[in-house]
Amino acid sequence: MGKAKAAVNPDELVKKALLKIAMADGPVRLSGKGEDAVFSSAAGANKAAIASLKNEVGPLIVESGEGKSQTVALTPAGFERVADAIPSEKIVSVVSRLAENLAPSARVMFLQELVQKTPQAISGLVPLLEAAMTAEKTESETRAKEAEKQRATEAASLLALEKWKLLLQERKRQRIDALKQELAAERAEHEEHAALQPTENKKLASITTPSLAPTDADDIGFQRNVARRLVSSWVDAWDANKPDAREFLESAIWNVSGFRLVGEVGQRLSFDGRYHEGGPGLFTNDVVRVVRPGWVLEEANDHEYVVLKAQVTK
Amino acid sequence: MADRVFCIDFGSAYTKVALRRDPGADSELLSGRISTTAEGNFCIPTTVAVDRRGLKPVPEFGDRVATMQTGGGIEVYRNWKKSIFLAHGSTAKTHLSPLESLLQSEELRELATKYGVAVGQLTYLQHLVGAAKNLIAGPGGRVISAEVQQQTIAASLAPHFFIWLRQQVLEACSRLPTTGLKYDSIPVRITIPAFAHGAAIELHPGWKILLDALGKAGWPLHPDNPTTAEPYANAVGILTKAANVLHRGRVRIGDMFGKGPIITVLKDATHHPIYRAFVIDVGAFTTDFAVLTLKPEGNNTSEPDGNFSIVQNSLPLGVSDLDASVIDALPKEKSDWLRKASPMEWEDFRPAVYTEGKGVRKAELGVIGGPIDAEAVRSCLEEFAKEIAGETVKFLESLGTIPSGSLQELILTGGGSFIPAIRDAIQAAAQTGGHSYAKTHAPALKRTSGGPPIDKLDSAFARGGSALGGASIYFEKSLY
Repeated sequence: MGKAKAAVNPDELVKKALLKIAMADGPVRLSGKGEDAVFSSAAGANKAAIASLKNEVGPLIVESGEGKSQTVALTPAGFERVADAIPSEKIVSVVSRLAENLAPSARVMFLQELVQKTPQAISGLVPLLEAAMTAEKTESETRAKEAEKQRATEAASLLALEKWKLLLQERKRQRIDALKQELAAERAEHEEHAALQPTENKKLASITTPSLAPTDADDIGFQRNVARRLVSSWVDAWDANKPDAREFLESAIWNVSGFRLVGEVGQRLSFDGRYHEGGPGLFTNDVVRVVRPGWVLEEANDHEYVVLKAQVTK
Repeated sequence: MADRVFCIDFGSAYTKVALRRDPGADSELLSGRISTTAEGNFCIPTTVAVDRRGLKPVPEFGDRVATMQTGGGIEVYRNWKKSIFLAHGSTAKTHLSPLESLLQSEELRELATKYGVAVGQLTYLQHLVGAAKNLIAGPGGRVISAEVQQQTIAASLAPHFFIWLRQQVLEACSRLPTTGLKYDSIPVRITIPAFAHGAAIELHPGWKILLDALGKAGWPLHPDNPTTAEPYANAVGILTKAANVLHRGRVRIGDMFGKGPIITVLKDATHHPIYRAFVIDVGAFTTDFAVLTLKPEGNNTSEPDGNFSIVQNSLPLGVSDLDASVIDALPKEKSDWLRKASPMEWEDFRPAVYTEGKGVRKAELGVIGGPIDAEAVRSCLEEFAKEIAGETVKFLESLGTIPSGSLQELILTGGGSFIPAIRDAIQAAAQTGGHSYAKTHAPALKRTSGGPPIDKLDSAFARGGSALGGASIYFEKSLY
């Protein structure tokens, strides 16, 4: 009988792979032949480890390039996983590489968190923090210049939204006129000029009074449709990582009566499937972290329509 | 009889509940406070998830689990209703082998805890034995089919689902205008597939499973008829427009059915010997065909229910199959997007692609399902519509011809009937063999000048017709 092969622990494989990427002096590939490859093949036990590394919800590595020249680097989450195992003399060079790919504000936050965890590396990290803060300052100045431009665009957007509201009211008025005509056509001649009953008057008055929370099924459907369209564009901007475009849309949606954001990025909360969604293994009351907020539309009679669930992870 | 009743339309994808508050009050759909679907506030996802990570499994339901994913100790059950109505004999416990009984026992769980065996390992062992048993008949064991296992699971999910549903219903009632009614004592009726409806209905395992589950959930059952056939309830809901009319304590059938074809047949059986309602419900997972035939005896308008007969066929083909074929037909990057699309994105995609043909525009991918993809989408729609139309013709042919002078109505409901290509194909197929309809009821119909009368159904009737009809006073025979 052959000797049984020792079981390979996927977590160990993941950790080894992350360390190899962290410690590499040059670019490394995920799999293949040669010293610059993390795994010799993508099959067997390596397959599960690679899946964990690429985990869609909280990836530990990021790939760049295509085909055989595709290389991998650590994400902050991947770095965090093996930070303790990286020799202190290597920390600064690993962090430098990692920080290069982060936006200035995220870089500052990342470095601040890192210093708390590895105070021994603080002297080496100072230049990195300085560079990140300079970049952050430049970025905020650029944003301030663009803010003026954006304000003008937002004003145009608000104007469009106002027009939208007016169109809704106009649509309502047209429907009421049509209903009145139908009513007149349905009634016999002797009833044609009959005055509306007080209750009917009251009903019509409530319909003609401009309201942003429709109660009629058609209007609710129309409002939900428009809400989904706006939020769909917002989520596109989010997925494409275009913060400027997203900010503009977010302001527009925010200003529509009844809309509210669900969760803030990084916020920890109890999972509620009505408002949150994530990968497999999430259940009611699990503690989760928001990675992308969602949107809820408040409707008449205390109803809520969840337009987009917040994306969460454990 | 019952003065008040709840009716549950237990659908494959969504469950709807209607209430008749008083004998003469219109039936109304109950809706939750929070809605996560554009289908309508009254549509409750018939989805159950079970958390098996701890010592005791924890169930969760409806909107909270609609987008949950199986994995990591969580199991999500969608479209489990069909398993309840599988034509198999008995429930699970009798099929458990001694080994399975041991593996599912509390004693073994306790021992596992004592020796530090992870719950997941025990569950895995149970699955392993279950899977092995499906493949081979071991010594002393009997082969259990996958269907029976599914039915076992569905039967165990049902009571939990109805307990939760009752809580939701009572909560919805608490938001209704105050009436002083004791909602928790109002009995319930549930709609069931027509194939399970008939003289020997009590023998059907699905019927027993549902009524047992409702009983365990604490619902008082309707004293006379706790169940009714889905298409029958659907037709009654749509034809009466959920109206319940009483005069001096007696049901006014004529007023409820708006003096339509059914009343014409009831009043003049000599010239109009038969009334038929052809009901086609194109749902998310199934398409149900049913014909309700009324052969009045003499000029009896007092109680039509006893003279109705139902024939039904259910096809495991629904809008979810159309979605799947469109995913496969589109270019890779677009189909990848659709595979990951959220329910919100699907709710936008279906009308924009299947109805308008305009597609949805995404910043990174351009227009999906628009003019560039028109041929691929059209081909999927045609294929899907052709299959349903073929089944429509086959179903009608199986019924034979009807005598001249008979009156028929066509009723199209469910999410699929909102799609013009499908609706048109069914309407055309329903007319083969010389069949004609005094009136057609369907969503988004357009009246043509000189054409037959139409009834354009709104979402409440296109999706909630069965619940509304099942709550109708039409089914209270003692009030005729």
